[in-house]
Parts: sequence; C-alpha cells; structure tokens
Amino acid sequence: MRRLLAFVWKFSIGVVLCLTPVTAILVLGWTGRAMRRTAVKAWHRQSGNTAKSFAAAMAAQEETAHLVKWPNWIISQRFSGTLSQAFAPAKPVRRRIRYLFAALLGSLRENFSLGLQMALNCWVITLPACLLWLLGWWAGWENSFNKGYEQAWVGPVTALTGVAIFIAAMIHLPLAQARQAVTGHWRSFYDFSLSHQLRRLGRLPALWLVVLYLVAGLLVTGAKIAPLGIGNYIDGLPQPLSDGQAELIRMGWPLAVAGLVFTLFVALHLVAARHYARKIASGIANGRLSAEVLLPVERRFLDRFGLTKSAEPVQRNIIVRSVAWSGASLGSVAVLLAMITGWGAFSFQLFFAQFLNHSWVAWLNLSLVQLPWMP
Amino acid sequence: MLLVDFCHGFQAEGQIMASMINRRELNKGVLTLGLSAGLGVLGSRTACSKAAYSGPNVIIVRFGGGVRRRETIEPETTYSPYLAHVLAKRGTLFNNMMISSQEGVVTSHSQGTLYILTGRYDRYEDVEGRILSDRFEPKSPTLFEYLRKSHAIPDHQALIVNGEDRISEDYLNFSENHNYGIEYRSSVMSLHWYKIWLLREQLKGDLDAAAREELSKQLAEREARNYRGELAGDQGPAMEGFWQRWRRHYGDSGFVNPRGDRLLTELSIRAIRELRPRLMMINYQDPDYVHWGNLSHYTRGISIIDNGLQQLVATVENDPEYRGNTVFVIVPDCGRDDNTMMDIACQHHFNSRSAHQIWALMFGPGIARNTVVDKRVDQVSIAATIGQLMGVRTRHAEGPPLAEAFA
Repeated sequence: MRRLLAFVWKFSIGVVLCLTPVTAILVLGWTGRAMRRTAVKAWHRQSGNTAKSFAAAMAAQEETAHLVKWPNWIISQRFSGTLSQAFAPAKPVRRRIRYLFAALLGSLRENFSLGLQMALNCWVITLPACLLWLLGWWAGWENSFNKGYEQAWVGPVTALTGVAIFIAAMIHLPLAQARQAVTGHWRSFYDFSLSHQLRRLGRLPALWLVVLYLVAGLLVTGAKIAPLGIGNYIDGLPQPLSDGQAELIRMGWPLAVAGLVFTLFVALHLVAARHYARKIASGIANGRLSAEVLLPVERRFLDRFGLTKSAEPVQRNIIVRSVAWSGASLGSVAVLLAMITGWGAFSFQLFFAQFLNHSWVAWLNLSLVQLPWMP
Repeated sequence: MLLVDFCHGFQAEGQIMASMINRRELNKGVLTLGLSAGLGVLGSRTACSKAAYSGPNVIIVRFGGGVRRRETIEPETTYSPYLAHVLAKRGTLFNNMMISSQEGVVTSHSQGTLYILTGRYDRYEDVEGRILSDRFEPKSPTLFEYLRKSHAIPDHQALIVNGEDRISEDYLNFSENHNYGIEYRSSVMSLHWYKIWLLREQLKGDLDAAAREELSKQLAEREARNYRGELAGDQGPAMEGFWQRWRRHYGDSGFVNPRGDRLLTELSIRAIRELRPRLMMINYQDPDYVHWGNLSHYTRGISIIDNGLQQLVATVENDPEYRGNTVFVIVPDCGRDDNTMMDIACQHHFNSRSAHQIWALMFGPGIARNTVVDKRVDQVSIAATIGQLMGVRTRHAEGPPLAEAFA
C-alpha cells in the first residue's frame, strides 16, 4: 500500500511537472537519477550475486544508499539522516540551516542541477537540427505562399540537412545521456570514442531502442494531432457538449498528454540506461572494452559487482576471424542503415504532426528527446 | 421577352423527357420510337434562337481559401478594410450566412465553390474515389450553364478565373446534368491553361529532339490532369488570343507575371478589358496557406484579396460599359475553425461551427445600399439570387433568392 501511494505521488508530480518547459527540466533530472539507479541495478543483476537483494546491496554502503528507492522529487533521498544533522546541537547554526535545506529540498536541487546539465548537452547536439527544421519549414511555406519558384529548393534542403544532423545526433544521444546520468559528469556526454565503441559492441539493442522510440513517437504524434479532432468536435455543429463539459475536456487534455509524455519519456530513458549498463559490462567481460576508458565512478560500481574481470580472448585461426569480421561488419552496416532509417522516420513523425497541428515551439522541443513537455 | 419565356417552357419539358433517356444512348444518337415525341421537343429547343443578354454583369468573388468572419467583415478585427469599411456600405451584407450542417456537406474549397455555383448541397466524391483527392463533377447545372443555355453568350464571356494550386478546380466548369453540360460550359482562365496553350505553341516551333521530348512530356502531364474528357481540354479562339497577348506582355518564363492571388486579380482585370465577361467568378485561395502554420499567410492572403477587390472595383468603375451595370457578389467558399486547443486554430475540415459560418456581400445596381441582414441565410441561396439578378431561372437550385438584397 505504501509503495502504491509512493508510486501515485511520484507519478502525479511527474505528470504535473511535464506541463511547463521549466518544470520539465526537473523531470529530466529526476529521470537521469532514475537512469542511474536502473543502470546500477542492471550491473547488480549481471553480477550474478543475488544473495543480497538490490535494495540490501545498495543500503549496505553510504555511497549507494540513495539508490535503494526511486528518486524523490523534493526532499532529500537521505531525508532522516540529513535532518538529524540539522538538529545536531554541536554543529554551527549556518551549517545546521544548510542541512535543513538539504533535507527539505535536496532532491529538488539535484533534479534541477542534473536536469539542466542533461538538457544543455542534449540541446547542443539536437538544437542545430531543430533550428534547421524550423527555418526550413518557415522558408518552404513562405516561398510557397509567395510562389518563389526561383529559390524553391531552399526550404526542403534546409529541412533535410536538419534531418541528417538529427539522425547523427540521435545515434549518439541515448547512450551518451545514460552515461552522463550514471556518472553525473557532463563531459562524459561528449566521449564520442567510447560511444562509438559501445555501438560496436552489438547494434541490435540500439536498433531495438530506435524501434521503441518510433512506437512511442507514434503515440506522441497521435496526442499532438488529436486536438484537431477534439477541439473541432467540441465546437461542432450542432454543439454536442455543454459548455461545462467542453471546458472540462479543454482543461483535462494537457494533463492527459503530460501523463503520456511522462510515461513514455521515463520508459525510453530507462531502457537506454539498461542498454548502456549491459554493454559496458558485457564489453569488459568479453575483453572488447577496457575498464581503463571508464570514469572512476563507473569503475567503482563495476568493481563492487565484480564486473571488471575480462575473459581471456579466444585465439581463433585467421579464416574464422576473417569470416567473423566480415559477418560482423556486414551486420553492423545493415543495422546502421536501419538505425538511420529509423531515426529519419522518427523525425518524419514530427513533420507529420506539425503538418496537421503546427506550433513553432514544437520544432525546438521533441518531447521524447529533449524536455518531456509538449508545446 | 415573351419569346424567351416560350423557349424556357419548351426547355423545361425537354429536360423532363431527356431525364428519361440514357445519356450515353443520347450521345450516340441511338433513338427509339418511344422517345420520338420527347426528341421533338428537344429539337424545338435548338430551333429557338437564344435571346441576347441585356441584364447586369455579375462578378462573383470567392473570398476563398476559407475565411472567418472575424478577420474579414468584422470592422474591429478585419484584415480586409476596403471590404469591411467601404464596400459593406455600398451594398447588402449578409453577416449570418451559413453552410448547411446536413450530412455529406463538406466545408472545403471545391465543395463550397460548387455550392455557390449550383445552389445545391450535393454530396461530392473524387471521380475515381481517390482519398484526399477532389476531382469533382458538378452534379447540378452551374450558373454559367443556366446563363449560356438561355442567352446567347459565348463561353469566354462566362468565365472562371482560377489560381494554380488547385488544378482540379479548372474542371468544375460544367455539370454532368444531361440537359446542360459541356455545351454550356464556362471558359477557365488560369496559369494551368496558359501553360497548356504555351506548350502547344512552343511545340509548333523548330525544336531539337531533346527539347521537343521535354516539352511533350510537360504537355502530356498537364493534359493528364483533365479528368472531364477530351472536349474539356479545348479553349476557343478568344481565349487563345487572350493568351497570345498575355505571352507578349509577360513572356514564357512565368517569372514576370504577378503570383499567387495577385495573379488572379491581374487575369480578371485583363479579362474585363479584353473578353468583356457577363458572368465571371474569381476563385481566390491564398488564405488557405494558414493550414501549414504561418498565421500571417492567412491575414496577408486576406489583405491581398482586399487589395484585389479595390483594383477590380476601380476597373469596373473606369469602364463605361461596366460602370453602373455590374453587380459584385463576394462570398467565402467556407469558414475556418476556431479551435482553442490548437496554436493555429484555422483548419476547416472538421465540421466545426466556425467553418460553417460565412457571410456574403452584394453591391451594384439593384442591390440595397448600406444594409446589414443578420438573419440566418444559406450559401446555396447565392445561385438563385444571381439567377434572379440576371433573369435566369435556376430551376435546380435549392436556396431561395436573398430577397433582402434587392433594392
């Protein structure tokens, strides 16, 4: 019952925070913290050491005690401990006040701080594409309205360039975001070399993630264009609903959309986090990834679960190696092409939704990728 | 006048008889003995010489692409100041005109154009049932057919002026009603038709094989847009002369002439000067660009039409034969949504109340001045009203004439 209440509380707060772009930063940060927990949980499971439950294993050490439960929205994850520090008489007043604030608002601060870092990094690699889309759309229709046949190519070429940049960004983004969430270091987001290595460690899970984004994108596209039918039904002829009923739908619809976006956004990011954790662990285990390239915080987690030991590389003759290499390369190319197509289709969903229900701001925020907020 | 009425009487009987005849058989001339009496009546129709038209000229302006009352006729919020502040005072404004909400009625451009032209809310579907395609065939006679059947008016003086975005609307110029049809069609003036004429002209010239192939391909593509049959692809010598003069002025490139709805104004003004139309419909459409998210395209489109109205009225007033003898009928094809759940509230395909709410403004000789009628009237009444103005019986039109408009 307690867990159910906690779930309802955390879910409800998340949904409400998805209603505005500023509060959606908190949701991104909260999701980042949930990603960290999911990745660590995946390592715990992969370690095979199930003698201790995940909660017990995390609670055993001060450093990981905060991962026992899902992240809080406002109060600190170590609320009681921090609050008791605030009331410890031996400490100076200024420090006690700081503890008090940390206890009451610790998670809020963490959510905002991590959320802002993650949003900034995400914007750096995706906003150029989004801006090109916006400009391409504007230029294309402006030209079409004015019948500027002479420069008719500008709009489509600008928008397609945006699509190409977006595809490149999205091939990197999910794992990079997961890594930033786990490590808490914004620079780790830009470790393109590791990102490339992780992609080479098995592309199928990455393709699976693209498929999930496409399916989720379909639902979000549906939510984006639904007001076209709903709003006009409300304003239909003859009027089908009372004014009160119509107002209820108008007020309730954004909340329903926020619920959908929050659920899908968190689910997709948790899948990405688990995907990242498994690749790291399996890459080290089969000797294709060195633990040396990881950050200390990652190594600490992996050490703790005994996941830094590599298997001895199997010596195979040159023919077997050649065949294996050729097969893997071909497979990699095929999966890469599929991913490019998938992310291209994902961006097409936005164009389709914008075609039916346009909003300039919607070009600048994909609610499953950047901030979990639908303009 | 008596002669005209006499002929009308025979035509009415002829229509009844002809409706009993399979159209294909009639076209092939396969006649049976049992129908000989009816054909006798039909024959007598052709024997009647048509009366010369002496009524007022009528210019129908489709304030098209779908517009709301708020941005057009409401003085506080209008983007069409000439219409709302000047023209409204010169005529009768029906500010509560509606498009019916009966089943099968669609608030869109081609459908609205046909409701205006035929005076009926017929149900329309694409000729081949294609989804999202609007290649329609008017089911009932259009105003042009009524006029040309009863009066000696050549097709180039019964004129539709179209834009280039909706080529299918170029083929709405005659109905499939077997008593009317292609024989009484209107001419259509648009860049699509100019390009067809131009390509045919260019192909008459001395061209290398590659250029000939390219031009032939372009022509074939354009001709393939004709879904009404071979005859619908012809334009008479008057229209060809018009295009020759257009070509001399604007050349072949298409980059010199006005574009968008300004082009329609230019075509219409030239048509008034050169072809002297008695009934002309100008199908403006650019406010419809708001579909794709730029609200200024809607308001700019309205302003451009407003400016076009100013030029058209000036052209008419500067022409001795048109001044004092021309009635303007301005009416939108449909309204637009007022959807508070969307950033751009202005679609029109979803049967919203606002998409059904339109208006009409009429001014000219015989029309009451400075009159606002706020009782509910219907878009299909436009045809009957114009019919009454021109002295033409629009026997298939549903709506009663807008009696309040007549002075």
